[in-house]
Amino acid sequence: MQPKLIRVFTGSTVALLAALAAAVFLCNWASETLIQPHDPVLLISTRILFWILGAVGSVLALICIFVKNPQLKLILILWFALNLIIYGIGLSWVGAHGAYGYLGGLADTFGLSTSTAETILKALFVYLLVGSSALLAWSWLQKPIVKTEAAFIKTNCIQCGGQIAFSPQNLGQKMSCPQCQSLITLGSPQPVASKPVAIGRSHEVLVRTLKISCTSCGGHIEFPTNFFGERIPCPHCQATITLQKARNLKMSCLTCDGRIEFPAHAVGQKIPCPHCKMDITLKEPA
Amino acid sequence: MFLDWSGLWLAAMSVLFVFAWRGWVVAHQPAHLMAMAEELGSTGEFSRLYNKLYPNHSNTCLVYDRYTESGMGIYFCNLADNKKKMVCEQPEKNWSWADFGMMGWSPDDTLFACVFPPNKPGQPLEEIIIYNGATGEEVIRLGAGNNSVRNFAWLSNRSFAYVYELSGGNNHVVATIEQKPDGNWIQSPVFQNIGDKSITGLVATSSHSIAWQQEASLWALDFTDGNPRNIWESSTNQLQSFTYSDKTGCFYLNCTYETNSLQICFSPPTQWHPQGAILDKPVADDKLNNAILQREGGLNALYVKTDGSSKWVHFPWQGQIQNYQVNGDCLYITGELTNQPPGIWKCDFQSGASDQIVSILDHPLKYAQLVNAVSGTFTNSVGRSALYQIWEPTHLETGKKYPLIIGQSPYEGWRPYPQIAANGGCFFVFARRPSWFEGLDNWSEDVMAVYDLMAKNPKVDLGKVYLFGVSAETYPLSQLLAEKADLWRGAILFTPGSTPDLSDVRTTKLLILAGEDEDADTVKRLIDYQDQAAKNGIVLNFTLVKGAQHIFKSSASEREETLQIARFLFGI
Repeated sequence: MQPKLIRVFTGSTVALLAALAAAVFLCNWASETLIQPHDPVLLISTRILFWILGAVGSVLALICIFVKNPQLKLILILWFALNLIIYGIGLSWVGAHGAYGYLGGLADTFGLSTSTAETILKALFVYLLVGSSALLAWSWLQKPIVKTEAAFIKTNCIQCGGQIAFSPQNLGQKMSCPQCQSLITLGSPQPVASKPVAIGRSHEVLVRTLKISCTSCGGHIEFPTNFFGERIPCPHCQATITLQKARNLKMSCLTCDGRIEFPAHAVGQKIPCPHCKMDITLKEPA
Repeated sequence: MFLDWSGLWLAAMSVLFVFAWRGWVVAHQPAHLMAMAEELGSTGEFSRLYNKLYPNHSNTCLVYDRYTESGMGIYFCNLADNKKKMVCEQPEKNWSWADFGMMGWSPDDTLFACVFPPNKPGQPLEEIIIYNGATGEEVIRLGAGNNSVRNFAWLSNRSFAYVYELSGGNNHVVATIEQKPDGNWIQSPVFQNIGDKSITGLVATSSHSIAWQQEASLWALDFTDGNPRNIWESSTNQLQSFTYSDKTGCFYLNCTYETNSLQICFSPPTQWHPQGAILDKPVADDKLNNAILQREGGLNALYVKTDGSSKWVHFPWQGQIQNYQVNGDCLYITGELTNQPPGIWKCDFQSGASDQIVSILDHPLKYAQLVNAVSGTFTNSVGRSALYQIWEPTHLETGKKYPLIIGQSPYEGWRPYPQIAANGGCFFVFARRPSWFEGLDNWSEDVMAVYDLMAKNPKVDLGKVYLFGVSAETYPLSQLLAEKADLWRGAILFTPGSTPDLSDVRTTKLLILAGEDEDADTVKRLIDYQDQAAKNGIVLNFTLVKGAQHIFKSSASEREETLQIARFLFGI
């Protein structure tokens, strides 16, 4: 529920900020021959203020489109809204009767009365402020619960068959099976095809794990093979994903033209070519 | 790289929406409004303040002025083939303290001369330019002096005298310019220090003598003896102005005695008489003002007295008259005539022909429609009766109400801003006053009287009434704006001398236009005023017109004025 709300809010913010930027740019263009009053807070021309407002709005909209971290988006939107609210307080503090006298050009450009233009802007800023702060607070309050509910992965001890639940963050860690006390490894830092081991007095079990990239945020996820096909929330972005075998990619070595196969999540890594031993950077095939 | 496609799509859609909204606003404005404003503002009207007409003696050529893109042009028109040529131009930028001055035609019409004030940085002297009277080609350009040259008289076909002031203005110099037999033009001072009283007239009484007026005295100077003589000193009859007839050799003095006017004729020095011969009526004299403009029931009519006739001829005119000039048997009118573009007409009393010789429209209007003002009379609250002119919206629709703009003006003739208001769908009304300062005291009363008249018109939207004022008119405008704040939606102020007190004004919109090259204090005052207005929650559209001073003097400035009015009234 919460990620969806955040997505809806950031999406609407992108639309509103893009509209705001387009509107102030158009206003500046349409009233090019007019001299604009000086803004009493920042002591710059209202035209420059509008350029700044439009530019910041555009950048923020682009950040919301290109940045994956929802918390960062919300924080930036809150920062923007807070700045505007503080500016409004500044206007009152210097004795201005609201922003009414500065919005004539904007109102004319869109055939509105100045009071309507002012109301629309106020509503926009309040929406950004309330929306971003409420969602930030909510996500902050909800985070621990999400972690405990979403992060549990269930498995069976290969010695006794008993069920074990653990957080995906604990993959690769060693622990004793709560049922038979056998030492088991919940995850392995080694590659996917690791060797099964049963050593000495203690029964160490290596759980075979796979690595995939989250389809939503691109974050790496390692999971035991027996979770194949299960749907879990991504530990990074909370988007629901289906655990499946990583897709292998193929490319040719640029030096020896030898064929190299590698998992998709290894894209960007630098490795020695298994054929000619020259360093190559793994890339997605064109 | 992470990319939220839905966000990108939303952003693109919202930008498109904003552009579409703007397009919708523009589409709902009167069609081609800005094109109309551009077209109407670029017409190159005749100067409102200066406009004069200078036909030659034989009525075959005419010199007139008209705004060019960058200033005021002096045009020469050969009336035989109606070919026009700009002979010189005074740029609006760096316009000095004085306007162009016409020094008249030589007695045989072969030459005419103009004087130009300095209009380039680093050019301290006025220039006298002599032109060929048949072709308008420049003959010679002479530096005239560093101060006002406004008094001149042709002595012969190849010489004229003029008076200029030395620096400081207390000393005057009489000089002559003469073409010698070898073709060279020689400039020679004749007399210096006529006195510190300003000279208001200069006439040639022969090829070697001149006369002029200083206050209520008349002086004469014969170049052969070089000493000026006081030939008339007002005692009971106060000299106002004079003319001289070379046909009769007489001076005609227009005098006042208490509240009466009288004309005195005398011919010094041989027929000197302290009071001269007192005439009870104006005499026929080609240098007297022999046309009188009257208004009959809101319509213009001229009473004209032609050469060799003592009869006044009634000459009705179905339109506005900005200026007129009688020359021999011809009458020249700058103005408008119903359903014709504004221009200059030549009316020949001998043949009865009346032709438009200059039109301000170089080609027919493509977008705008010419609107003829309708005149009427009103009586204000202090009993003054006067004329008003109203430009109605071009496309009146039944049941629809239109905004109204009211002002008071001394000028008749073409102006682009009532035209753009009417073309865009506004009523524009001017109460007329006799001259720039005369009647200015009644600005508020006149405007209120016209408002009351217009309030009875069901097509006027009384919620959208704007006041209009220029320069000194903005003083009474500001007072009225404060006194009856509820009546006005806003005000349009051109080069304002005064601005409304922001604490009194409850108007929502103001438009102020001023010249970028007005004095720095004025510009700063207006910029500060705009900041204060915005702080007070008043929307103020403010523009400084490039290159213009207090009075706009080019088509570029007029166009900017028209465009800004269109933007202000129709929100484009």
